[in-house]
Amino acid sequence: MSINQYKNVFMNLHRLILGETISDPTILILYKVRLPRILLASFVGAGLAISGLVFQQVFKNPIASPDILGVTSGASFGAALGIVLPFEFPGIIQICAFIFGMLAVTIAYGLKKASKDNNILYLVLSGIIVSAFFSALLSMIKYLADPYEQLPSIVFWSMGGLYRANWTNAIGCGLVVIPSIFIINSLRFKLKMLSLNDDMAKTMGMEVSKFRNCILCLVSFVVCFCVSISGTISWIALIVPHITRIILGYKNKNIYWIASIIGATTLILLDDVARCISTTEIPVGILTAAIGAPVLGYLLIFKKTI
Amino acid sequence: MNIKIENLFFSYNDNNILENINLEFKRGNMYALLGRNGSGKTTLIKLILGMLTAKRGVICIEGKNSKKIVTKELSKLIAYVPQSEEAIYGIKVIELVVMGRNPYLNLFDMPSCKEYELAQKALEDLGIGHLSQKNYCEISGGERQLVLIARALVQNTKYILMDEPISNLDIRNQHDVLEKIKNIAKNFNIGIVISIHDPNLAMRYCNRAVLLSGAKVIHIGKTEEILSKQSLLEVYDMKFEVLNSKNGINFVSL
Repeated sequence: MSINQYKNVFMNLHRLILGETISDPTILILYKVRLPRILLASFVGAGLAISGLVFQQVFKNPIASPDILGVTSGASFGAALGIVLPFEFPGIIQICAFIFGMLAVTIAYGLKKASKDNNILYLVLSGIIVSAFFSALLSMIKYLADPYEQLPSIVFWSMGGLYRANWTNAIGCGLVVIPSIFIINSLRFKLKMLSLNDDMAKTMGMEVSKFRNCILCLVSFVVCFCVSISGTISWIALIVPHITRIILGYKNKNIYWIASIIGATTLILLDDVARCISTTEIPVGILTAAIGAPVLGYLLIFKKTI
Repeated sequence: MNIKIENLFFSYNDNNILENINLEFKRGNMYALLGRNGSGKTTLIKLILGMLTAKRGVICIEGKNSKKIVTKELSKLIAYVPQSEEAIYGIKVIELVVMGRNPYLNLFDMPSCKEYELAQKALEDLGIGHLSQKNYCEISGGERQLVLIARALVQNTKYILMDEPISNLDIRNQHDVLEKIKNIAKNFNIGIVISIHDPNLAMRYCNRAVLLSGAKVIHIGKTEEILSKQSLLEVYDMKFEVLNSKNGINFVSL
């Protein structure tokens, strides 16, 4: 709260809690800018982290991340479409990003269903196809966009950032992320069973395909919602599950909560760095990638968690 | 009550794997499925478990067509022990065994203390109670096989199907594991179907045998009666001698 300019805002927090009139600029910054931004960062960080953990468990692959089903590509295309559309209304970019993110997942599932094979590999391949398709559409929009206004907006959006934070999207994000964490945590026994071979889990009464589809839809929804507000913030979903496993070990009943807390803390800290590192804010997606890549390399070589 | 298979037919493309199979597996017995590689032993097990779908024929479990039994109900009737299971990194033995209680848990349920007690008891019944807190990937192959059997026991089913459960074990462990399986069939009145390669082990531990050859069941009955020089020649296309040992159990020799 006190990082960057207006360092004394934290000292005035009690005034806000006591219900003093919000007219002082310091209080206004705290109430209108920093608190919603911190809340949004924590919810987006938690949402991405828990989604990454679930994806890695479901796909039995330590480098799986929500991008695998094309959510990010779909959302990026949707946001770009929202930017170039000839009409404007509040939140159109977020709405388009959300719709196309979910559409990407739906198409990926549709392709997998058309293959009539329950093998999860088909879902991965479908995700790659959808991702490539929406990336091509995004490139097309970039090519056709106005190079002075629209193109920079598209590029800036795709870099990810929390500068759009306000109370509405912070609370909305919380209403999606927190119940999802509760649901995922309650399903932890079934998620553990997914680590078994599919046929084996089925002989123990588990409707593997149905369960897997439902849980992937839930986390895709969470990711889509987060990405539609914050843009593409990569690596959080990939790295935080590994950090959590290093701290807690592989099987811990609190792993989903701890991963969420670590994800939230990481994004809050990186957002602070993004705000302070230079005279102007840099997109936090650049930082997560710049820090995430060497961290993954470190985990690969020294911690053997991958 | 039993598992009854009638006119079962299965093929991969044009390659017939099982043709006109008629079989009955009853509780309390231990059946050896014998046959050469590719004779359809594993396919038969997978068909009963619903992992594969038959082209024709009916499988009735406890009088009910298996196609009409939902996954959860089927898992309360039949448990499965695979040849091996990949070592799941970081999972404790007790956690793996308690997964066998899944058919009795609802979607959001977590295993209770009672479920863990049942899992511990199953491990102790098989003489490996001391392994419960060990990491599954840190125990030996024989111990892992017993853990998988314990998980099947915890499932509290009427039948257990085992697909070559001893193929990765040394000779001592093979006998230990089969002795325990035999006792399970007897003590818990469970029907056990075990796919096995060694006719001598089948003679010693299984009271019933099913011989598969050329996609068909060529013999079914009491093990000591059907494992003869002639039937083994039909199955393996090789001459064997069936000899009597001092303890009264026949054995097969080249």
